[in-house]
Amino acid sequence: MIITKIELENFMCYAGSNNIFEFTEGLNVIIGDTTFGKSKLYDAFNWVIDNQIYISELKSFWKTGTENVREKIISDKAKFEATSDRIKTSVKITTHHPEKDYVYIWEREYYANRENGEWIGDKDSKETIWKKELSYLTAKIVENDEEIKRIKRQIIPSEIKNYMWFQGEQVETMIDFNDSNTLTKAINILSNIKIFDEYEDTAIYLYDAAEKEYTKILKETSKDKDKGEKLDNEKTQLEIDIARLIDENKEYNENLIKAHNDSENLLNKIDEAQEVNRLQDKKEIIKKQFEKIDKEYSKSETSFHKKMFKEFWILKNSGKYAKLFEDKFKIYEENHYDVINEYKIKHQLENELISKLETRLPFNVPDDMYIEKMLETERCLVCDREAKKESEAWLKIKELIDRKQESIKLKNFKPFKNDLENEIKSLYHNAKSLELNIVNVDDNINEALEFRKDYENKRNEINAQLKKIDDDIEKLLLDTKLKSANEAKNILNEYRRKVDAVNSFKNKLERNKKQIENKKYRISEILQELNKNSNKPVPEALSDKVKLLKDIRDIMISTRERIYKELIELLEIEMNKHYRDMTMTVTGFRGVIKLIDKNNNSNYMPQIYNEDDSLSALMNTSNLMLIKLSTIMAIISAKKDTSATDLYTLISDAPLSTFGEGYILGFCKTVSRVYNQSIIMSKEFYYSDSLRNELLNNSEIKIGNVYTIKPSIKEHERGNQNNLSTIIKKIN
Amino acid sequence: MDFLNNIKNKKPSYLSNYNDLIDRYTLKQGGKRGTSSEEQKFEQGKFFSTKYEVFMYAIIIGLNNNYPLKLHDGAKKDDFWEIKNWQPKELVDYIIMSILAVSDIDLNALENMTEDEINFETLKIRKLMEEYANGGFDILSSKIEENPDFDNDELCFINLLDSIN
Repeated sequence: MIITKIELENFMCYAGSNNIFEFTEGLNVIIGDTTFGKSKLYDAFNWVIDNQIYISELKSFWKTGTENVREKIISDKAKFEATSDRIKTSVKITTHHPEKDYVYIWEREYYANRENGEWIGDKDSKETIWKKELSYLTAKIVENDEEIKRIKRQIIPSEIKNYMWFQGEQVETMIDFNDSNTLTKAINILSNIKIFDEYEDTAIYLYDAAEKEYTKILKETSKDKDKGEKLDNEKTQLEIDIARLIDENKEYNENLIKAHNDSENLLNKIDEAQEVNRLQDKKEIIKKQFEKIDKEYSKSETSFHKKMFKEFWILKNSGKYAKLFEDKFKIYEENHYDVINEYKIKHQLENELISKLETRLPFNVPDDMYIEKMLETERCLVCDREAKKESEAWLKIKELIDRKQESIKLKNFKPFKNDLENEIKSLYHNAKSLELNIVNVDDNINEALEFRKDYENKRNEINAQLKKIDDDIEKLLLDTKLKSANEAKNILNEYRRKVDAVNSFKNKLERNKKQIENKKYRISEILQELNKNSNKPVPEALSDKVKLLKDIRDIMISTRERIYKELIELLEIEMNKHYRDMTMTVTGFRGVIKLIDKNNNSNYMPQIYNEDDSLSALMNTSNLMLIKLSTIMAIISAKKDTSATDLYTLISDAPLSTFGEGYILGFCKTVSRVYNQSIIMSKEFYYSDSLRNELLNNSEIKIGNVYTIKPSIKEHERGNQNNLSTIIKKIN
Repeated sequence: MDFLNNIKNKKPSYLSNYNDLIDRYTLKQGGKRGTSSEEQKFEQGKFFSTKYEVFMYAIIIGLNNNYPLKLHDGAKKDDFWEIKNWQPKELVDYIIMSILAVSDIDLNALENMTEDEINFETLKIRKLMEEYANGGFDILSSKIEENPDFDNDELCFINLLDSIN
C-alpha cells in the first residue's frame, strides 16, 4: 500500500483548500525551514489515521476533542476570513494498493462554530473512508467496521506505526537501549519470530499436560495411597515454587541488566567524576584553611585598630606632655616640701614649748577638775599653800589649763588644706610607666603591620589556590559536560549503588538457580519414588507420549533459540550494512555494531566495537541515533521479502535533525533502498543547495516527489497568523 | 579632698554637630545589640569602639596641634559618660596629666583651696579638655572635608597623630 496523495483544507497553517501533496514510490521529501509547516504536515497524517496530533511541548499525542487540540487545529486565516459561522477543516489521504488496484480515500473532517465572536470546536471529528476500484470512476463509502479496521491495518497497523511514522525526537524513546526489552519488542512486532514463541508455548503446554497425566496415573496406582498423595502434593508444591523462582529470576534478570547498563553508562563518566570529586574534596580542605586564616585576618584587622588604645599608640608623639608635667611636678614638689618643712620647723618649736611646759607637771596632772577647784578656792592643793586670785601662784595654776588647750591647737595644725601629693605623684608615675610604650610606638605599629601583611599574604595565597582549584573544576566540568561538582558526586554514588545492585541481583539469581536445580532434582526423585510405589506399570503409550512431547518441547525451545539467533545475526549484518551506508561519506570514526546477548539469548543490545574488536567508548548522539535508525531499518530490510512491512510507508518529520551533513545523503540512499515508499520532512535541504542537488540527481537515491513549503507571510509578521497560509511548490 | 576623682566625675561635652563624625567611626548601640549587620558593625567599630575613644583621640589631636578651640556658649552640646568610666585607666590619667601640664593651674595653690574653689578649678580642667577635643574634632573634620576618602587608608588616624603644626 502506498500513499499517493494528501490534501489539507484549513488544517493549521495550511489555509484554504488547495494544499495538495502527491507522492510516488521511493523517497518523497518536503523541504522547509523551522516553523514553515513540516510538523503540521506530519500532524495531518497522524490526525487522519488516529484522530490525534503530537504536541511536542507536552511530548505526547492528544485527541481532537481535548482542550489542547479542538478548534486550534483550524487555520487562523480561515477563521479570520470566514463568512459563515461554521467552518470546516479536513485532511484527506489517498492510498493505492498496487497489487489489488484499489484506491482508498480516507478523510477526517472537523467543524467549529462561531459563538459571540469566539470559535468553539465540535466535540469530535468525523472520519470517512471511500473505496474505489480503479477500473470504476465512482467511489463508495466503506461502512463496515471490520472492513474499516482491515483497511486501516493495510495502510499502517497500529503496532508498527510507531516504527514507521515518527518524528526525529521520538526515535530516542522508540528504541530505548536502557530498556532490555526494546529490541525484543521491535523484533517481535516486525518479524515472524512470535510464531515460534507460540510453538514453544504450545509444546511446553502439551508436555506439561502429558506429564501431569503420567503423574496422576502413578498416584492412582500407588501401593501406599497416603505416600502417593504426599509425594504428589510435594511435587505440585515444588512445581509452584519453581514457577515462582523462574518469575523471580526474570525480574532479577531485568533488574540486573538495567543496573548493569546503568553502571556501564556511568562508567564513561566515572573517571571524570572521580577527578571532579577529588578536586572538590581538595577544595573543601583549602576552603576550611581559608576560612580559618580569613577569620584570623579579620581579627588582626580589628585588633590592629584596638591597639591604638590597648597598646597606647594614640600617645605617639605625646611624650612631651610627660616632660612638661615633670617640670611642673618638680616645682610643685619643691613648693610642697617647702611648706611641709616650714610646718615641721614650726611644729618642732611648739613641741619644745610643750616639753618645757611639761617640765613641771605632766599633762592631765592634776586633773582639770582639781585645777578648777584650786582656782576657785584660791589654794594650791599640791603644796597646800594659799594662791590668791590673780596672784603669781594662782596664774601659775591657771597656766596648767591654757597649756593643754595650746597643745591641742598645735596638734590639729596641718600644712595644707588639700594634700594632693599622692594624686599628683600617681599621675607622674603613670606617665613614667607609659614612657617605654610611647618610645616604642612606631616599632610596635610596624611590627603589627608586618604581622598583618604576613596574614594577608597567607590569605591571598590560599585564596589563589582556591581560585585555581575552582578554575580546574570548572574546566573539567566543561570538558566532561558534567553540570556541577554535585552531579559528579551523585554519579559516583549512583555508580556504587548500581555496582552493588548488579552484585546483589547476581547473587539472587545464583541462589534461585541453585534452588531450581535442587527442586527439579527432587521432582525426579519423587517420580522415581512414585514409580516404585506404583502397583502396576504406567501404560506404554502414555510413557511414549511423555517422552515424545518432551523431545518436541526441547526441539521447539532450541528451534526458537536458533531462529532468534539467526535473526539476530541477520539483523546485525543488516544493521551494519545500513550503518555503513549512512556513514559512508563520513571520514571520522564509525566502528562496527555488535548485538550483545546480555541475558542468555533473550535480550540483545547493540554496542559499537573498534576495528580491533575492542569495545568503543565513543557513543555520541549521532552514533546512537544512527544505530537506532539502523536497527529499525534492519528489522524491516531483514524481512523484506517475507513480510508485509515493505508495503508500509515510512513517514518521518526531521529524522535528520541530530545528524551532521555527511550522514544525510547516506540516510536518504539507505531509506530509499529499504523502504518501498518514504515521506520525509526536512530542513537540511533548505539550507544547502548542493545537498538539494545531490538529493535530486544522485542515482543511488530512488527519488519520489520533492516539494518546498514556505509561509505566505514573513517571519516578523507571523505574530498575527490571520493572513498565514502555506505555499507549496513541487520542485521535480 | 579627692582632686582626681573630682575631675573624673565630670562629664565632658562636645559640639552636637560632631555627632555625625563620631557616629561614622564609632560602634553604636545598634551594633552592640545586634540591630546592625556584622559588616556595618565591623565598619563602624573598625577604628573606634566607643564615643569616649573618639573623644580622647580628639583631645590628643588638639593637644598635638596645640589647638584648643572654645565651644561657643550658645552652641548645642552633648555630653556622655563621666571620665571615670573611660578605658584604659592609664591613658585617661595620661590625658588628665597632659591637660594639667598645658594648663596654667598652680598645683601648689590647689592644696590650699576650699572645696568650692577646687570644684571651680576642676571645672576649668574639664573645659580645657573640651576645648582641646573641640580643636581635635575641627582638625579631623577638616581632614575629612579635604579628602572624603580619608578613611580609606587604614593608617589614617595613626598618621594624623604625626601632623603636628
